[in-house]
Amino acid sequence: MAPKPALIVDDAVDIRLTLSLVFEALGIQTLEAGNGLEALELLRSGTQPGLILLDWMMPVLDGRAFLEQWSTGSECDKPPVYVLSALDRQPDLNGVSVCGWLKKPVSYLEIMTLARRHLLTNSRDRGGPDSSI
Amino acid sequence: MRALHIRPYHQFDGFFRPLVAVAPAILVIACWSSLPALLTQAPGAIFYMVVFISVLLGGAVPGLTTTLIFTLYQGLVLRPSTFTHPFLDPLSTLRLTMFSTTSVFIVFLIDSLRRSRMHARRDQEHLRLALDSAGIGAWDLCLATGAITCDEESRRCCGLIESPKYFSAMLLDHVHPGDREALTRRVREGLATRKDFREEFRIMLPDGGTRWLSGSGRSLVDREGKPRTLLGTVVDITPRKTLEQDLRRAIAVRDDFLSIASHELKTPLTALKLQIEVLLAWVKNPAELQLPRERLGELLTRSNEQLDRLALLINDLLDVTRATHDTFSINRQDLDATGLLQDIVLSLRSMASAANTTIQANIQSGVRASWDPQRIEQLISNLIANALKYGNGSAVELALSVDAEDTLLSVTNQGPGIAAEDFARIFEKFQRLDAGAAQGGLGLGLFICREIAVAHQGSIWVESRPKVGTTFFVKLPVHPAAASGEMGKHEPPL
Repeated sequence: MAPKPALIVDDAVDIRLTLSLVFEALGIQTLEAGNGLEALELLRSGTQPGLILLDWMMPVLDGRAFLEQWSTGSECDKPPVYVLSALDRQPDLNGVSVCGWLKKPVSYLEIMTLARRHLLTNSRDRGGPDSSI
Repeated sequence: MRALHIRPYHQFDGFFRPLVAVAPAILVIACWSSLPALLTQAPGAIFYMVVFISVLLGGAVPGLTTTLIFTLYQGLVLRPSTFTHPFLDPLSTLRLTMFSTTSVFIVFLIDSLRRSRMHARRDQEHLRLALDSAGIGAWDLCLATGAITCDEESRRCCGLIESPKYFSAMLLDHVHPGDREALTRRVREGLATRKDFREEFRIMLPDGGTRWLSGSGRSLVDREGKPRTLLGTVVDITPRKTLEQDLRRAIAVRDDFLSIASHELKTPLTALKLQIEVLLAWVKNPAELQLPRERLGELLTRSNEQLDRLALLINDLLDVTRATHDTFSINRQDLDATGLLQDIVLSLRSMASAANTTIQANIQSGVRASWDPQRIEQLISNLIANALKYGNGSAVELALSVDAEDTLLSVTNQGPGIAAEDFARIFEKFQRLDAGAAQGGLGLGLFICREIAVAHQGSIWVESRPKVGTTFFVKLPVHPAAASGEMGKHEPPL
């Protein structure tokens, strides 16, 4: 079974492209959204990513607003959300919950770990990227 | 609320004036009627009076001299009736000794009083000088009557200088409503605890403005320990408060900027780090990554772009430092302005197509100018990048025209426009429009544009109409003043 895709929500094109490339190198498809609203539209259109990497400061709809609106929806079996932010400190999340908070610049190892934990668990027996651990 | 009476200090000087006018007349009349009798019967009384006046007017030395003259006069001229030498007559000797001793005593007594009065006056003048030079006003409040006695500076501070007969002011009414309670509480505490107190508060001026004052107070108590008088000072601290507010604002702007700058620097850094780590992983174990070889070249190209972006950001930061330290410089060259602008438009074409729009050039041909080509390119790139960023996909127009005196550059978009109240602010450093805050950037572009225009002895301004569009104009003189030796004055640009 092919791993579920990762959804990358970030207003910086360069970061989206680079993260896509990293996931691609691990054999994972990616979906991209330039802000929270685009991400919501993608999710509501029925797309089911296995992992969401979310930027915190974005135009139109930022990370917090995205989480607030998304959590009011009725989707079940939600994918894990990791915030990827340039903020020095994690702000008060005020009710919204995330799986983890990664500080930019994030390392390849961190992304690889996330991918293995959430996306590549089913493909472990197939060898591939995981076998190198 | 109790009415507070305010009397200027000089009112008290007037109280003694009638006394001064009446006293000499009484003295002369008294002398006129009693002088002959005194002179014959008790010349000592006259002598004492003269010694008194002498020491009062001149001090100890004249007083002692007068005493000596009268002693000699009594001993040598006013001979006693016994015809014996007065200095040999025991009674006369005793009388003279008593006179001189008493007189010397009077001299020293009066002189010490006179000196202490002089010292008190000097101390008072010293205090006045200190108060005046520090801009401190002094006042006191009689707690029994509620009367306030205050000096000129206190009245100026409280804005009462325009109304000199302001004797029954409800002073607390002039205090800013937001500060009244705190001030009243502080004064009550001070009176209850007998401790000195200080409070900063705003006073509302008759012209509608407000002024920040710092008031201090100390209660003077009577023998029973009950406060009788409240002594106080007041200082106008408006300049300090304004400065404090400005500093606080500047610190907030700087903190915001640092957070924005670190965010902006981290974006290319994040991409760069990931790209290099992927490359490293590939170098170590190509089989681990499902990445075709041709994607690696693309990865390196992207890394290079991130480095360019970082370099641009850092150059902007350096430009701000240069402008702040007055070392922002330009390197003028005689050049073909038309050609330069056409080249710039060509180089920015990719930026426009990324924003799904175009740049329309309306450039007068054959224009020559004395510009720093790199700085003008930076200026136009910044303006066009802004026009694209805020233009909502509308086409951007770059125009160049020249008349006898000035070259006029303009960059126009048909975006939502800029509010008139933001026209001045956007040229300050670290300023971004709300719409721009979400779009990133250091908030330095227009600040640097202005510095470039000013370094070329020109000016920059904006005209905008909501929902119609925005035009930035840059006017640069065709013949810059000869004394513009920017290169001589400043360090050469990097």
